[in-house]
Amino acid sequence: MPILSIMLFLPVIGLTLILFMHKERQVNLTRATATFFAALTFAASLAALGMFRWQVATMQLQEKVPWIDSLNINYHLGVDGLSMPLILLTTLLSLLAIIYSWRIEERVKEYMAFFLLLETGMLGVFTSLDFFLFYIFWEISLVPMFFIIGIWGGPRRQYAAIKFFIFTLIGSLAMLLAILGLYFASSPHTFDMMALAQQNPLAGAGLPAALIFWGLFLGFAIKVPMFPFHTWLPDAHVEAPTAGSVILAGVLLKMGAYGFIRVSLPILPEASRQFAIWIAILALISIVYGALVAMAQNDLKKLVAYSSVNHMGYVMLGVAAAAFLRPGGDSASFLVSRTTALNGAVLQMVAHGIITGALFFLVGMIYDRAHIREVDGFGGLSKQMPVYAGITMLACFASLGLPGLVGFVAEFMVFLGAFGSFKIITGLALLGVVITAAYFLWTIQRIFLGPLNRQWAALHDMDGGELIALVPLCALMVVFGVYPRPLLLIINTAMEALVNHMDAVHSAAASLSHLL
Amino acid sequence: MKPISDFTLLMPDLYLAALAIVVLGLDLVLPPRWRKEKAAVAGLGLLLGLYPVMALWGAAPTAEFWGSYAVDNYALFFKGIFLICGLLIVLLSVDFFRDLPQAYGEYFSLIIFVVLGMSLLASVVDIIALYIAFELVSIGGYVLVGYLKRDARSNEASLKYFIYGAAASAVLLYGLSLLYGLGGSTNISEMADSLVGRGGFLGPVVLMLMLVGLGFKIAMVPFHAWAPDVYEGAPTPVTALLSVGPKAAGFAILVRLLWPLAPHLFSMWPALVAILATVTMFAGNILAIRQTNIKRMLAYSSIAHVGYILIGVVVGAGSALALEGVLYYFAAYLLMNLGAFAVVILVERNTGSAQISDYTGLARTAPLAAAAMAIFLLSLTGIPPTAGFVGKLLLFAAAINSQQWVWLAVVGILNSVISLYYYMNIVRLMYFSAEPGLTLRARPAGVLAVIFVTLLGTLAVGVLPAYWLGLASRSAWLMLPL
Repeated sequence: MPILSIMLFLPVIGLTLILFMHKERQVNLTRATATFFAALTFAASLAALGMFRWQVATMQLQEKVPWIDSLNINYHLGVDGLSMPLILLTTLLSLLAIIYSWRIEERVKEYMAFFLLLETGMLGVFTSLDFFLFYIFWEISLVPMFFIIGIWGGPRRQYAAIKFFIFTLIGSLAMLLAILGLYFASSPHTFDMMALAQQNPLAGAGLPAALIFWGLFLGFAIKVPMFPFHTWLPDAHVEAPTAGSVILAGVLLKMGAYGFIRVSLPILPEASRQFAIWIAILALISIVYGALVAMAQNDLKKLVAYSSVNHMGYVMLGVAAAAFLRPGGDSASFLVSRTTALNGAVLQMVAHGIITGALFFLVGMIYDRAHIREVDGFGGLSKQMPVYAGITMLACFASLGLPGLVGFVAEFMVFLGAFGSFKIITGLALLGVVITAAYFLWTIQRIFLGPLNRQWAALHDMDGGELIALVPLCALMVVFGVYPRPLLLIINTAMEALVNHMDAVHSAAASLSHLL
Repeated sequence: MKPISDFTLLMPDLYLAALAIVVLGLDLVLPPRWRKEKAAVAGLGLLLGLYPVMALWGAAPTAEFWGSYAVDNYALFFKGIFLICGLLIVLLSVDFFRDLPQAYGEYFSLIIFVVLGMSLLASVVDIIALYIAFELVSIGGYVLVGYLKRDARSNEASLKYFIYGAAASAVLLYGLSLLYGLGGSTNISEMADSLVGRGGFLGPVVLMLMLVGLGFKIAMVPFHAWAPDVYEGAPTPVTALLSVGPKAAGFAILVRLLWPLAPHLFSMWPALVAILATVTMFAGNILAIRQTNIKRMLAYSSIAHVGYILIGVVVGAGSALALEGVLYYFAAYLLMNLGAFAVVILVERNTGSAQISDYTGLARTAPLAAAAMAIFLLSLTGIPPTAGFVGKLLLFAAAINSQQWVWLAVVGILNSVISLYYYMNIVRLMYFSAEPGLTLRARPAGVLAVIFVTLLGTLAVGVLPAYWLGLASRSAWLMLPL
């Protein structure tokens, strides 16, 4: 059964049905259809998980159909331990976002249609093994988000939408050129990621490899986003509607980091190794700068947005550490530390998706009630809204890395692993954790503790619909915080294989240079 | 000397000439109120014109009529594009010229004559035949641009087009005469042999003169100045025709002329054309940003697209991929650009103007038209899964593959980003506005048909490129050796 294709195109079927519905008279039917198909897609991803064997490092559930023969382009899908968790994250967050979006009253038909298209785009990115297909889905995920920000966003939504589109298009076009470079460097010419990783067509090619690496880097780094390419993020996040922010932070940012791990590391291991230190430095800046700027924010949404810059910095630090190899250091322990860093990075991607998704939901809920998002404007809300306060504190604690919650496991592994590669950078990056703890605690204090601001005496606590969106995320934070083993087993198999692959390429190159 | 050739090889063009005369004659026989019938004859006639084109498809390439007229897949591919272009223009025109009192058939006859000229231009491999075909396209164009006789802007546009065009034709003719002097023949392939080592100091001059003449036709910077005014003033269906047809025809002959001859005239010609391509892309895109009239905006955007296609011309000599890219791009450009113009005509029909601000809130009141427009604009930007994306991909791929011209691909993507801004500006107006826009009461069937067909095509050519790529590559393979 082509479970991946079924999963990929279920949202498109839902979208097609929605297009035939009446935009005013069948609003609830539209919402129900969208929810139903998002739920089906989630079920399909669970089915894929059921068919997935975590012990196997190679690509599974592969589907390959020739598409454009003359250019050797195939419709090629597959999953491994890297993409499987991200797929589940995508289908879960999409479902929750659509459930939460029942409260959208304006242009519901278009909204749901765009959301379903977005889901297909994101799933396509995580399942494509052919670069051509990958690029198409990469761009497909861009367009609906442009509309979601631009139509249902805040006051400066038009500016934010166009800025988002332009920034990410610059990145993706740079990536496109790099992809074409890889295509023509390979022989026979291929867009297949697995084949490219095996061929390693740019082994020993100095400048072309560097150019292609930085082309890909631009595409992925803008999406992550890494300093200094992060400037679109606060605008997009602040202006996007709640569910849009959730998907943006929860899934779209992961596409950038996913690209580094799926593409840059295996296909350009030498260039990745050569430039790993630069990526680590940019990651460090993202971590510290993101945390400091987040601390300075009064707008809650901006605060969470900048905390994303900080948290994605940890991911990139882990990626850089895995790519890096100290001259002369290939001892077994070093292999373990790099694998740990990479495991931590992927786990952090999942953790950040869950936690930040929840945080954006929570910010949206308070904004729906109070119509402000300024931290200063609140105070003492824990008495007024105990459930809301409890869940928010849980999410904040998870985000700042409190042990027992999933964020801690991920960050701990990143630091543990990265310390083997970069001692000073990792040490400095710990500052980010301290600052993050500081601003989250300070925020909690200002919003929930102290005397109740009279202005908010009428605010009601969370309703059922909101709880449906949040409880699964909170449960996952705790479950994976206490028992991350199943998730890590899946991730580890793939990451171990990846690190081994990189080292095999390096040692092949080294033995070649000995011969010469 | 060979005996006179088989006339069946000339069928596509002979048929068009006959059709043009028949349609012209209908005005004499039929009363003026039979407008739709005349249009139907023209439209069906153009559709049937595809048959002789397809009948010749795939044969071994030959040069007939003493080597002046090429019958090869390359020419046939372009002929197909021109026929479809002409057909769509006829559909767009039926309602547009509804108030025209008489001479209705004459208009369609002129369209067919222009299609004939373009069709000849795709086949000619002799510079005298080239000039005749070139003038047939131009003169038909002058008349069509000024077809709204009572409209001052249309008249102005026509006059402007004529003056610029006449000057460009003269320059081209002068260049061709010098070329004849250097090469000692009017046949392109014969000259390619005899010109070797004889370019001298005149070579670059000849190349420049030819580039001026053909650059005018394709609206390449710096010979583009006529385009915005003419595009704005001309009746919109004619603008649509000019933005696709003569451009494609100009490129068809540019490739046939430049690739074999330019290396002997001026060894640095690719660098020269690369610079022109760069300037054309930047000028077209940057100037498009400031426009408030959508026809002017599309005029500048079409200039930018000329720049992208020139990438293929620069890297192309000898590369099948580049030629495929150019051909594919024209198929894509035909669909997406005519689609965008069809929406423009639909909106113009309801507002009487072509201001960009007319599009505000259109997604609320005319969701299908707005969605179609959004897809055309995304395709023009080069976002998958649309035709425009595959076209750009092939051109950039050719540039990357050449290694020497990688920077042209970089220029191309920078320009794609610039173009995103003004294309998405229209999407922004259509979708992001809170207030509903204008209601489209008048919905002419012909225009809707064009929107439907081009939309389907834009998506089909983007999602299933294999078939179209096959057509393009068979055209590139079965091209008369340059």
